[in-house]
Amino acid sequence: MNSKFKTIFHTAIFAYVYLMIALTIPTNFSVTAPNQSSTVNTFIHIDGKNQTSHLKSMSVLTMTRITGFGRMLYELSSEFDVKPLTYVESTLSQKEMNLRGQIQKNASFEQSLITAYELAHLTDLSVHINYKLTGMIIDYRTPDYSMLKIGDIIVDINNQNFTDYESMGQYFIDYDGILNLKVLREDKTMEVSIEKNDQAIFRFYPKYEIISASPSYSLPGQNTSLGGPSAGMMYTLSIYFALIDYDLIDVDIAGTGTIRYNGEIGRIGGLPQKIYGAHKEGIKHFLIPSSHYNEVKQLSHLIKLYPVDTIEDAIEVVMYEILT
Amino acid sequence: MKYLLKLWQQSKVVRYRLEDLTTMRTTILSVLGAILVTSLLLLPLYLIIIQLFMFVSIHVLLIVLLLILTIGALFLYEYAMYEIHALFEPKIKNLNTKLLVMIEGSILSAIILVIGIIFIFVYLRGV
Repeated sequence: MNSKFKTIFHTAIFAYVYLMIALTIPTNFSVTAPNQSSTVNTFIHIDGKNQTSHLKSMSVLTMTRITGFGRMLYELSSEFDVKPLTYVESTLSQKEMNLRGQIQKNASFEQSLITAYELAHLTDLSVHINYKLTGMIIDYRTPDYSMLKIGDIIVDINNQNFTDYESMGQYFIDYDGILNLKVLREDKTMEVSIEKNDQAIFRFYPKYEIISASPSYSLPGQNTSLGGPSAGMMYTLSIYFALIDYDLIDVDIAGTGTIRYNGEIGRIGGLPQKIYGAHKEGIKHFLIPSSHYNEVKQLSHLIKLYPVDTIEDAIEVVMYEILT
Repeated sequence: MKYLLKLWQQSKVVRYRLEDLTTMRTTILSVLGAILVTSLLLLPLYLIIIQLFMFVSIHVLLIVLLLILTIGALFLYEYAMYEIHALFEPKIKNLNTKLLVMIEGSILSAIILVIGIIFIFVYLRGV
């Protein structure tokens, strides 16, 4: 009996150690999985307006440095996307990744509000928004530029006093040599000088100060853990339709895509997983950035896909294609 | 109710006797040993369940499983603690420590259950 127990014990210990290695040692892989939809009006609320609950944004669940067991498990599902870490993911800590998610979400809120209020102002002159550019918020920079932190706001470059994001961003990209940056970090202004090299990767989002808006708004979505920029288009649509009192939306419409400073709908990640998520919830209409259409057109038997280039396209698709 | 009160009284008697027969040192060692045994046995299950949270459709099931596992862990910890204690203090083998396992495990499980139910309701409302 004692000898039998010893044999079982030896075998079990081996299996146990092997299992624990598979369950705890991280790999250089990340996974993207389908998640549930979120109703957009729970993120941005326009005071005194009836905001439809039929507009949905889709998010995904992501996990970086998954374990060996996790990789094996997630690769069993065709709806999951398991892939090696990207360069950006491999150079950031989980804390920095979460911070980026929040930066992107807040930039998305600001851009959606500005775009939707300006579009609605064309229809209703009583709708207006007053804002100014604060600068460019750093979403990513290669580790060589660790003097700049993710979340820093570049308020000026070489004393050029920029008033719009496009010319500020273009100046940063085009300028070769030493850049003298005025940086806002945790409400303190500091001077930072950097010399860009060819391998440098920078990603920015515009940072605005919204001085006043009529009607007023609130951002309950700021307090959620969901992050990222991909709901920008749906935020903009939801705000716009509320501002112009358009209340004919009676079917669930999901979508994903960032809203850019010029009204273009930008690219996003995890689109197949978002489509799977929407399909599972029985949603029939899905707006996507047109640049992604070729990657996901094979999924159009699951859900009707509407590729759009700009926010104006998205408004037209909702009003004249989906709701007719 | 009377039966439960009787069990409670009996467990108090066992506890008094246990306090007479044990020292602080052996108590600390048995607690640490029980935590180690419980962790080693249940950690793989916890790690598997946590990784399954990427499957959104089974979130509620996984939360319930975690709750059951935690209650199981409490009883396992109590049982392992008195077994290890008996290795240091053979005299307590004669005591009915299973009664203490039942009573203490049930009280702690009830607390965990209440916290778990509140958590599930908060989670479901969030969804």
